[in-house]
This record gives sequence, structure tokens and C-alpha cells, in this order.
Amino acid sequence: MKIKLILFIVLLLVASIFITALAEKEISKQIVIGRLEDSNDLDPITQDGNVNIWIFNLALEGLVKTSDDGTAIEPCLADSWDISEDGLTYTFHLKKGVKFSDGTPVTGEDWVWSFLRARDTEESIWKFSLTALKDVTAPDDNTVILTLKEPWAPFLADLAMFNALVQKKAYYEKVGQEAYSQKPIGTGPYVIKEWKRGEYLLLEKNPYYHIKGLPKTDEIKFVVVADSNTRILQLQAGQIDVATFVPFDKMKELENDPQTKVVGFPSTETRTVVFNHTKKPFDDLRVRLALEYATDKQALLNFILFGYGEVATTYTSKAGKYFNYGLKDRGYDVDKAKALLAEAGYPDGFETEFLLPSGNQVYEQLAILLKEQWSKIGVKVNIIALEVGLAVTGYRTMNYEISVHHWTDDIPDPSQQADRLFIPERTNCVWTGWRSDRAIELVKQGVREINPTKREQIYLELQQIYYDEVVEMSMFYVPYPIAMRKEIEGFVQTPFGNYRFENLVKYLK
Amino acid sequence: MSMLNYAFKRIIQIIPILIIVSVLIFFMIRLIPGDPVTIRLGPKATPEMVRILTIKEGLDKPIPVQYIIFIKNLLRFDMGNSIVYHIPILVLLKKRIVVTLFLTLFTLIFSVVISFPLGYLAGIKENKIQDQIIRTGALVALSAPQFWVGLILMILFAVSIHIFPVGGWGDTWLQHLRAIILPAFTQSLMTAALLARNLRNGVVDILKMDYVDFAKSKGLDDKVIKNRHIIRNAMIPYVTLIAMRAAYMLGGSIIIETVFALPGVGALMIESIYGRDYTVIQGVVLIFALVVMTINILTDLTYAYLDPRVRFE
Repeated sequence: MKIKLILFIVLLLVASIFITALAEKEISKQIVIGRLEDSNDLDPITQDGNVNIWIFNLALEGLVKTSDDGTAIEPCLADSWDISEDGLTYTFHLKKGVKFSDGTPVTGEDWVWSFLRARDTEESIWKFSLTALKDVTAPDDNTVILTLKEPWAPFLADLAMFNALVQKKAYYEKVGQEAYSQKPIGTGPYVIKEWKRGEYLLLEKNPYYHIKGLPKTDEIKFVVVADSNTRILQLQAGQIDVATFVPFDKMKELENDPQTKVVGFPSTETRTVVFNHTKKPFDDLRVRLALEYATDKQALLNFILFGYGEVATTYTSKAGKYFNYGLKDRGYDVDKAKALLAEAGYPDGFETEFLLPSGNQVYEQLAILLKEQWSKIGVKVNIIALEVGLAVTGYRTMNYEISVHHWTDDIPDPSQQADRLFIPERTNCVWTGWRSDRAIELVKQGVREINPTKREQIYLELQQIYYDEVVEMSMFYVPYPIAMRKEIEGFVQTPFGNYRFENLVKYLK
Repeated sequence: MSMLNYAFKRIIQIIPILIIVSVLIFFMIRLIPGDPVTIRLGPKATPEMVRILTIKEGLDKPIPVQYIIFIKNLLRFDMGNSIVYHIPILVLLKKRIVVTLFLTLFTLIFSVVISFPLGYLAGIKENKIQDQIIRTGALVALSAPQFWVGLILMILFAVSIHIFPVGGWGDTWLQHLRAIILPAFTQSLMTAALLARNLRNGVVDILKMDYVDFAKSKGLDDKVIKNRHIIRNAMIPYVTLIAMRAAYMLGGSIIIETVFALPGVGALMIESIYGRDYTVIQGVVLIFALVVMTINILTDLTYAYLDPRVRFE
């Protein structure tokens, strides 16, 4: 009898332990994320800095969005859509009952206003993406019809961009531009609650969010911790839960720390070394090729990014659409580089200047290592590290010989980057001064070609031209280096940098 | 001249100095290559976008015209909006000034608390072992890089033992107090070292003065000699140095603020210079020119209290 009783008690104990373990784990009310710098303005149509986009994208939503891995377009506030055969009319069927974060319903008028403001405001920064938009109408509160002047292949992708998000017209008109740019109102999972400049930005759960039960965490606090060492110490001490922009040399240490884990989220960030094609000897393809052959990219990657990231073969990243997998890294071949230089008339090499912004560890290391590698073919590099504003001005007025450049995509479509890179009127081909009529022609075709197979061919050819011409020297694809406490789950960052925090939680021990 | 007249005269003198400062800062920051619009818009901006925003911010107008607009607004106590943040400069500055003032105050308290006894002790024990130790310590404190000291202190007192937060400013006054101790202590080391050396040298010199010997021969109590003759006379250069350091610290310390993630004026200033946020730079420089001049006047008035021989002229 006694044994039975003891057995029963033991069983009861074991069962209770199991039941407790099965019960839902308790989660924290707030998650604190440390970042490098503060946002400055949250108006989605006049801003394109990541510090701003990544925040207002948590508070605002559009008709469609990119999938978490960045490869596809998914429904967001539109449940479905029809595209007319001529590709000129897009009819979106909206999700019913969606409300703004202040509890008022989203109306057709809000949609029309949001699109027209993005297209017609003079200082709207990405109206380029809406140039094909002829008209917006909302026959009822559940339908939005967008008509185009001409077929525009990347249109759906453009609608997933940050300037095509629905915002509340009446609120804008009530508070005015200045107040609005501090706190726009949308339908996203979070609402901007409090913003102390240079200190923190507090987001609060949107009580009217259209997906029941989400987001899971009540508050997200973005704190500004400019010093990377301090940011990491704060993470280790548990003062912050997530650290963004972790220096790559610290990733291993945080990976080995029993309290923290690290993730390198794939991004569309590509870093390149740019040549000023309007200056000798960089106008000569053989010289550009020689420098590429004289560069051991894998060694640079291992040293600078500690193995995170990948050697780049073209201007666009693998996270983007229509990536040309046929292009291979040319490899490291000093003899070939020397032969090319000799052929170009520089058998003993030449002397050149490398302009870069000071204080950027990755660029500084890159310049020093390139100086060392290129010295083997007689190219003498003088590094000129200038304060950021001076370096940017020097670069964009083409007062440089060699410099650095980086790009991150905003949409899952190659048209945006191709436009900036190949159309000289935009940025003088990222301030290289290079020009190709064939490339210009292809870029123009690319936005009009509706047939996906033909379209793919266009962008593959553009990458081939860029590769053959060594327009820039593609260096690395760089991931987003994130470190977080072990208790954090559900942190998602898309290749475009946008955060997806609907399922972000911090389990309490 | 009475003290009041003197103070009034000094206050009037501030006006022409402020005008000169405003002209210098306004034109000088615009002479640096780089403009706020290009820097803000980033690598994807087309020349068209740059042009539109330049006009919107009024940066296309000739610089003298921009200066006149600036002065006109200033006379209406409007320092304008930040080009980067699009909010009034005073709103941007208010909070940050509190942080910097708090940091400066605590740094000064620590500096005085550390330097006064040590400096005095080193002075009266000239060349003895106490003096040697204090002087060596001061040398170490002066040469140790602040960011390094800050990080070490943070690892010791915030990460290993959780007495203080790992940087940050906190939300309540109690949290601010906890947050300010490590950065203030770190920042005070250098000032304390300077002050201690200064006080020590002052005491050493004064001890050799005839009036000290005379006071001793009169049979005055040691305590009286110490308080009335030594300390009081050694205090004048000491107070001058404190005032100079305070004025310097009020400009904000970029290193301390960055390492300890404090939202102070230093971080704002550097950020504004990098971003060529002209209006913020102008505003901050003008306000601090005013503060520094006020401190100088107050210092001069303090001399008179410390040394009755000082006359207002």
C-alpha cells in the first residue's frame, strides 16, 4: 500500500513538471534593440535612409510586401489583385476591416491620397518608382485601382517599397508636415509612441493590428548606442536584448558567449571599389582588369569580414531577382595582372590615390590591404582618408581616382539599381563616368518588358556587360550582423533591411 | 566701481562678441566642402533630388542673404529648424543640455573631491613619498585614454558587478544619477589630475612666501595659517582652472558621450558637423559662446570674494 502511495506521488510530481513545461512560456513585455544612430525624420515619402525606413516600415504597410526571404511579393493589405492583359490596370481587392492604429478605418480616400502625395510632392524622394502611375481610384473602401501610362514591369515590386504605404490623410491634414514626420500613422504592427532624440525611439503594439494575436511583444525600444564596444557590453550585461551593426571581428566572441547568439542575415548590400573612368589610366579596360586580377578578394573577405559574407561577382546580390550565376570570380593571378598592365603601357605600374571616408573600419582595412596587394604589380596607392562629408563631396564631384561605394536594394526587382547604375543622368554611373549605350537601352527595355523570361535575359546581359567592362570592382556581399540574447526568438530582417517583428519574443527564464 | 556696475559693463561687452562669433561660425561652416543635402540624401539621390531639396532648405540663396535671414530670425528668438531633423533647434538641444550640464556638474564635484585633498597633501609634503605617489598618479590619469578607462570601468562595475548600468541615460532621475557616476568619474580623472598638480604647485610656492613665515613667527595657530593664508591664496589659480575646465566640458565630450551612450551636446555637435547641419552648429556655438562668457564673468566675480585685493575696473 505504501509503495503504491509513493509511486502515485512520484507520478503526480512528474506529471506536474511536464504540465508546467508544456504550458506556454512567459514572454517579456519589452524588447530593447541597440543601434548605431538615431532616425531623423519618419515621413516615408521624403526619406530613404535606412535609419528611417527600418522604423517607419514597422508602423506602416502597403498593398503588398516582400516575403521574409525577399524573393517574392506577397499580399499585405490587399488580399488579391488582377492585372489587365495590357498590363495597364491593376485592381487590388483589399482586406476587409483594416484599421489605422488610432482605431479609425482605412478608407479609399486614404489610399488615393497616399499614392498621389508620393507621386506629386516635389521633394518626394522616390517618385521615380511611381512615374508610370497615371491615376488612382477607389470605387469603394475595399478596392483600389491603379492605372499606368505605360506597362511598367517592376510595378508590383515598387508597390512593396516604403513610399507606397497607406497613411491617414485626415491626421496629416490635422497635424501638418513637421509633426507628421515625427509620427506618421499607418496600419503596421507597431505605433510610434515616444521619440527622445539621440536616446531612444519607443514603439508600442498597434491594438488594432489586422492580424489577430500579433505582434507578440508589447513594446520595442530602439536605443542609440553609437560605440560598438559599449553596445556589445550592454548586450552581454543584458541591458539590451539585440545589438545591430555588430563589428565583424566581434561576431565570433558573441557566438561563443553562452548568453548570446549571432546571425548574419542575408542582405542586398554589395560593396565595390570604384574607378574614375574619366581619369587615366582607369579609362583603359586592361588596367581595370589588371587591378582585379591583382586582388585576392577571398583573403580580403576573410580578413575584413571574418568570413561573414561572400565574394561578389557583379553589382547585384544573390538576394535580388535575376542574379547572373554564370559570372565567376576572375580569381587572383598576379602574373596575368602584370601582363595586362604591360600591355596597357604601364610595365612598371603607376601611382594612384585611394579616397575613402575616415572612421569606417571596413573601408580603412580594405584600402590598406589593397595597397599591399597592388604593390606586387607596381601600383603604388596613396590612401586619402577624409572626413565623411569631404569624402562624399570628393567622390560625387568626381575628384578622385579610386574610391569605395556600396548599394542596398529597396525592392525585390533589379530595375531600381540598374537605373541608378547605368543611366548617366542619374548618378553619372555611380560617379564612375562610365557609359554604355547598350546598357542604357537595356535598362529602358527592362522596365517595359512584361515577359519574365525576356526580362531575365535583359538583366543577365546587363550584369555581363558590367562584368566584362569592370565598371567597378565588385568586392563583397555583406550580411546584416546581428547579435542577440539567447532568449530572443523570431527576429527577422529581410534582405532589404526591413524588420519583421510580428513574432519577435523574449522568453523569460 | 561697484560690483553691480562691473557686472553690467561685462554683460554689455557680450553683445559685440556674440555678433563676431555668429559671423565667424556662419561663414566658416559654409566654407567646408560638402553640403547637408547631398550628405543626407545618400548614394541613391539624383542631381534633381539634390536641387529640389537645396531650394526647399533655402540653401540655394547667396550666403550673405542666408546670414541676414538667420539674424532676422534670431532677433525673434527663433534659431530655426535642424536641416537633418526638421525640428526646432531648441527642442533638439533642451534635453541634451540637461545631460551635459549634469555630467559637467558631477565631473566637477568628483574633480574637486579628488584633487583638493591630494593636491594640498602633495604640496605640504613636497618631494616626500606622498608627493611622489600623487604626482605619478596624476601623470597616469592625464595620459590614460578616456575611452579606455571608460570601457575598463564599465566592464568592472557594470558588466562584472552590476552596480551601474552599461551606459545609457535612463528614464527617471534616480536612473540618471546612477547612469552619470561612471562617465563623470572617468571624465573627472583628467581634470582632477590637472587641478591636483596646480594646487600642489600653488601650495609649494605659497609655503615659501614671507607672509607664511611671518604668520608662523607671530605664533598663529597652524589651522589659521592653513585656512587663511595657504588655501585661500592657492585657490585663485585653482578656481580659474575649474572655470576653464567647466567651460570646456559644457561643450560636451564626444568620447565620454559615445562610450557611455549619453545623449549629450558633444554627440549632437559631432553628428551635426558630419551631417553639415548648419543651423544646429550655429545655434549650439552661439549658445555656448554665451555660456562660456557668463562663466568667465562669474569667475571674475569669484576672485573678488577670494581675494579682497582684487578691484573691479
